[in-house]
Amino acid sequence: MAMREHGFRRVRAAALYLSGALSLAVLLSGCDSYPFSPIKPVGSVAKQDDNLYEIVTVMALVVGVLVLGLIVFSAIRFGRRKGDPDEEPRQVHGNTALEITWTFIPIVIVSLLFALAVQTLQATSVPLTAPKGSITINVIGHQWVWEYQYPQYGIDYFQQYSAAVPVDGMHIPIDRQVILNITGADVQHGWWVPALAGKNEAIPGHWNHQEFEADKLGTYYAVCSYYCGVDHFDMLANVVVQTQANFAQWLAKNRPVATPTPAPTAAGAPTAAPTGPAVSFKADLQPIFTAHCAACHISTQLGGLSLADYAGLQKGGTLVAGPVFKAGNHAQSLLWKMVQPGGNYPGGNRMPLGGPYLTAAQIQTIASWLDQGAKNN
Amino acid sequence: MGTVTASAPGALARPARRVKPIVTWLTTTDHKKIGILYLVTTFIFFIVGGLLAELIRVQLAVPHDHCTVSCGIVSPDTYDRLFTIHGSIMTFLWLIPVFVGFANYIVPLQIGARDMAFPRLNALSYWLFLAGGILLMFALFFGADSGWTSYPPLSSKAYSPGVGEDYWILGLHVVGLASILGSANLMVTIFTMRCKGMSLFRMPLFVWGVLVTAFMTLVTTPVFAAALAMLLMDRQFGTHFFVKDTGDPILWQYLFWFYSHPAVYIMILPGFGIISEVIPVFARKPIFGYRVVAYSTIAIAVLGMMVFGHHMFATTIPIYERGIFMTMSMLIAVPTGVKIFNWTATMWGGRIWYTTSMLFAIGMLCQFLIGGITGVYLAVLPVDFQLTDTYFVVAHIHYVFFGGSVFTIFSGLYYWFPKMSGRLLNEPLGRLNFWFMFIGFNVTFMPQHILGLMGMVRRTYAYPTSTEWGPLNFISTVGAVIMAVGILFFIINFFYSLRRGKIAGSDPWKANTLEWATSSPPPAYNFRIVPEVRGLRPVREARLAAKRAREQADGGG
Repeated sequence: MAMREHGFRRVRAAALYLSGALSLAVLLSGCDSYPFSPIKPVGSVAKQDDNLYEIVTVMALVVGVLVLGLIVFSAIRFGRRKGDPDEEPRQVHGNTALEITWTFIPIVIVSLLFALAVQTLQATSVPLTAPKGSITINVIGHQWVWEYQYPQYGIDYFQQYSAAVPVDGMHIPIDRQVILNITGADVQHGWWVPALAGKNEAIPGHWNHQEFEADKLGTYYAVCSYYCGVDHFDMLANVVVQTQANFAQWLAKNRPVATPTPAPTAAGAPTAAPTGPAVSFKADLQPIFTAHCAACHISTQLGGLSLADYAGLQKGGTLVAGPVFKAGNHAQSLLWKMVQPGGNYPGGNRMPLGGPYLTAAQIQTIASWLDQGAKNN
Repeated sequence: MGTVTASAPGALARPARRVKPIVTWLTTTDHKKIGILYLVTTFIFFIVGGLLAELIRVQLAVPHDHCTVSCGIVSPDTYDRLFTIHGSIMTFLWLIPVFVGFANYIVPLQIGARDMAFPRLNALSYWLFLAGGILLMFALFFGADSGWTSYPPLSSKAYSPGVGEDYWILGLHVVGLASILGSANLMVTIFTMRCKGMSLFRMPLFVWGVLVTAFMTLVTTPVFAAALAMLLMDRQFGTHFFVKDTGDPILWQYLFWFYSHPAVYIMILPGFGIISEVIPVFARKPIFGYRVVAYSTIAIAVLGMMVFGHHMFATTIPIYERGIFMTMSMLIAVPTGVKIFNWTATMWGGRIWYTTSMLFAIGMLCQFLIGGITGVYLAVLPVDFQLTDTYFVVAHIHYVFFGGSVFTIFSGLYYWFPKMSGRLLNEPLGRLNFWFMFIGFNVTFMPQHILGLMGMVRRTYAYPTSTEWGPLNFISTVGAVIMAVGILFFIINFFYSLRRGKIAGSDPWKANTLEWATSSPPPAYNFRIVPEVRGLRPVREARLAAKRAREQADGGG
């Protein structure tokens, strides 16, 4: 018995050293140079995902090597040798303390992983409204090419290829928040730029969202990650991360001459469904603002937000930058979210602060105006 | 094997009638014959699915630059059929029904019954399964190519206009019906036909695995059948279930995974049962913590029906929904881990007899552990965003299905072949079979984890040299060939041992459970006298009692 105990201790020590060495090797290999590898992230989201990946890998290696060692050790150590008597070994039926221990330990490990995952998810979640200075791009998967729309700049074009090699794809500026709205035009596709962020499947009839910041110049490979038909393997793309100046140049070159229509900049799908009688901004909304919001948002412009005119609504505030409305969709408009009684106010508390709140009819007026396209009429 | 029943002695034997063996097999309602029919049929499907996989591996063995239309050994649309039908065969025509085959043969024997509760329904299940399987083969020839997951809109009429997709749907419909009927039959058999003394907690763990699996099949398969019907109606009658705007493509994913994730457990829980039989027998110890192993099977089934959303982490499902599915997916590692610890503890302090069956069981433990751990990676949402839809997932599911399920099946084949045929499988050939499969498997699928991390996405037809995926893919293909050689050794062993194998006798392994209490192969009525059990290991108890009696007789004489 003493021999066995000793043998076990030796195996355990060896397993510990081995797992340590393996984890170190994996951490070092983080500096490797694979073109697609998520182990070489340059985007904010990819970095967070990758950090968690490294942690999971270290835990997996420690647990894996220990348990694998235990299995192999017991399979070899307790083998029947030549000359062993043909008798049964001691008949052990179980051990409650052990059972509880090895139920409890995995629970602790997965709880830890859960906490880490939630932390990373919070850090990488897509904001409800586009932050100030961010750039929004609609990414649309077609069989078998990607389309990029820049609603803020009225740009709309397709991924370019030369002899099956992607040559000119999505352009984004360095160190600036990018929000992608992703969908599929025909079948399901998957948008994946390993170096920048994880996958988002492009599903017809749905908008998927991604938000990240690239912090290194270069051209990064993108692949369609979800099987979309016969040319799926060929649906490659690339993302060009440029300096702010170069990006501005690129914008100027590609921007159409006509002024772009106000397009959705917040995360969400552009949908339009006019409802109810026509509502006018000047005749219907401005009187509500003057009566209920003026003290903070016309005379003093608290939070940087002015409700004095249409331009103020387009500009937004400092807390949540960008338009406070989303044309055609009141449910995704900050203006409506802040006054409705449902709870969850992105800016903090329901407006007007401390009440009295707007009446249901007034809230409906605002919703109708938003759904009718949020026009300056 | 077919001749045994006709000449079996005993009061229950019917007067022998001269019927051709082929007629006997076509008309049989004997659970053992139906079990063998299932096992042979599914193994043939396994070979077909395996050959398709070999073609996939050859196509991917080397990189192809500037591949726009076609390159390598097959065209892209052929390649798409290959992986679609490979996945469909291995899931629906091999891993799910092969365990139904084992259950058919073994469960009535292990619970001391003379047949299934509904023998004719049993025969109907098998013939439906065969018909569905053949329909699914038509899908291969007529070109179903939207993947075994068959997501709309790709699988809709507009994007898959051929009849292949319809054959795929109808084939799975019929196979699903067979599966539902078979499960109902097994459940009724286990609940009502156990012999005297066999309480639920005296059932062999294989029976536990089958019972829980049958329950999962009954709950989830009808949902899949409904989804298939909806897809067929979308394709043929212009309904809009999965059409964007008027319907929703994501609805299919919910319905499909509501069945197809539990199906993962349907494909492994009976295998866990086999391992829980094989390890105690060859370690010469009782299973460590019998009740814990049984309860963990139930826990896996319950949790297993609540994790399906992790296949949809990268879609647009709400974040809170993802959180719930992430929690469940992580939790399921706990009962699975408990099983691995219990099996290891069963070996600990034992006196292990390294039969081929035991080698496959040990190999399964190691490989399933790896598959389980990579499963935790995929449960962690932020990590999954990077890993999902890549070869990491391909490696993961093969570690679970091949390294896990298929190894349990081979363990079971070596373990129960003597009972079914009366002869032992050849051990030296068995060792070759094991080592080629073990090494081939790991050489094939271990590099695929790294390929996934390097960005290689699933269902890729070709890739350029600049990706640096070439060498690892080549290694993977070499492994696939080694594995094929291993399986060839099994086929040789099977035909060799069927004629020339050592005569097994009723209990060649000194085993524990009731199937070893009757002759090999058992007579049509299984047991001359229906047994009565007083514990978990009735055959061992009888063996020890006989030994004591012999010793007493010796001592007295």
